[in-house]
Amino acid sequence: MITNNQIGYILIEENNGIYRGVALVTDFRGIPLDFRYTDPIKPTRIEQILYGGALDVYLKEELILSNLLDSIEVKPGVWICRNDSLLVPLRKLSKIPTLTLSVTSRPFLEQTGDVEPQPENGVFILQADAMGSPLRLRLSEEYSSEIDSVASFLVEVAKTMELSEPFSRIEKALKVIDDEQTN
Amino acid sequence: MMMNKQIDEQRFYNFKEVLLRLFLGRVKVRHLQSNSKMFQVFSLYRSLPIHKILSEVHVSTLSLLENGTQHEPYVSTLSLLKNDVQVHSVVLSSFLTRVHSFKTRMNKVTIKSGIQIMRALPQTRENRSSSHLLKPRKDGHAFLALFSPIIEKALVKSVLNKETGTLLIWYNSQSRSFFSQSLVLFSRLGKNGGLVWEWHDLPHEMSNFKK
Repeated sequence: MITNNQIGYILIEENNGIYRGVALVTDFRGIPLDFRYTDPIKPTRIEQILYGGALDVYLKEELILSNLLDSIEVKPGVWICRNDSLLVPLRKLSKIPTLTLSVTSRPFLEQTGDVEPQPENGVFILQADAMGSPLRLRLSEEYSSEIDSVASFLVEVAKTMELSEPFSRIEKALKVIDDEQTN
Repeated sequence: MMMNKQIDEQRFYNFKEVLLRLFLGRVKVRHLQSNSKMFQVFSLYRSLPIHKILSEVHVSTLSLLENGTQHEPYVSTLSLLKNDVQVHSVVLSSFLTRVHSFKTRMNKVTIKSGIQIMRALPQTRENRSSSHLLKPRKDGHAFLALFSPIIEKALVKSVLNKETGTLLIWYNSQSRSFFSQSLVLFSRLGKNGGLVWEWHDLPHEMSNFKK
């Protein structure tokens, strides 16, 4: 049972060799309570060679994710991220349920709150509210038993906000920040 | 006696030849008689002793294969040359090597707060009028769109983005209301036309909103 009244969103991305991360915590209405972002990190050529294949994991998981979580002052009940690869490190670092979430075009499930396990381990379909299409959730396999508490939490949140909407707001915020830094 | 006489004659002859070579510088050529018994043939060849410089050449081998029952590699200690070999050291040159250190900047990341930027941004609500749902009806009006969930009492401003068909909403972060509803958009039929917004309660179960 998750009793926290905040929900967290994490986005760590790499575009053209530039890494950065963002964390947003909102209340159940989507009103921002905390928002942190990293300065863009651009590894030099020699850093790319020295770190090799470990560069991506090191930057995303150890450097950005760890520091973002440390900096967040308002702790959420669950973390929603976009990268499946972040599920395990995010869960281990934050010690709260973590999931990826996407909107599907599947037929509606019978009841709000219905959960349908999928053949793929850790993947579930959730009817989070009465008006939106079912959502596809992925939890790390190790913590897939948390689905019931996660589903209950998301159904509660979906009564007052759109669950996946904050990601589009995060992208807009990053664009504003980029524009400010350019000017 | 006869033998001694011949030997004496031979010695005398030899002595005479030596003196002639030394003092006259010439050799007297004599006719040799076929029956002469003083003719001696000496071989010009000498037996030359040959000594090996390289004695017993051995090859050191490092065997990584099994040697009988032993499983450890062994080295046979053999010398190539019998004699000691002197090794001289030669200094080729001295190189000055400069080692540069490289400090990576990737162990530190700057985290900033952007809460003011985020609070200024509106939330977006998609049009949820779906073929799966029962569309709201209003006499003399045509249903256009349904946006949900929206908290009316927390709403400060809303803007309909006609290009994307989405509704942008700004909330008052100080509001304590959590009561959410749907905002439905109708088009008034008839000559006057125009758009009409209407608040509707949310269906809490799928059965309330299915066809």
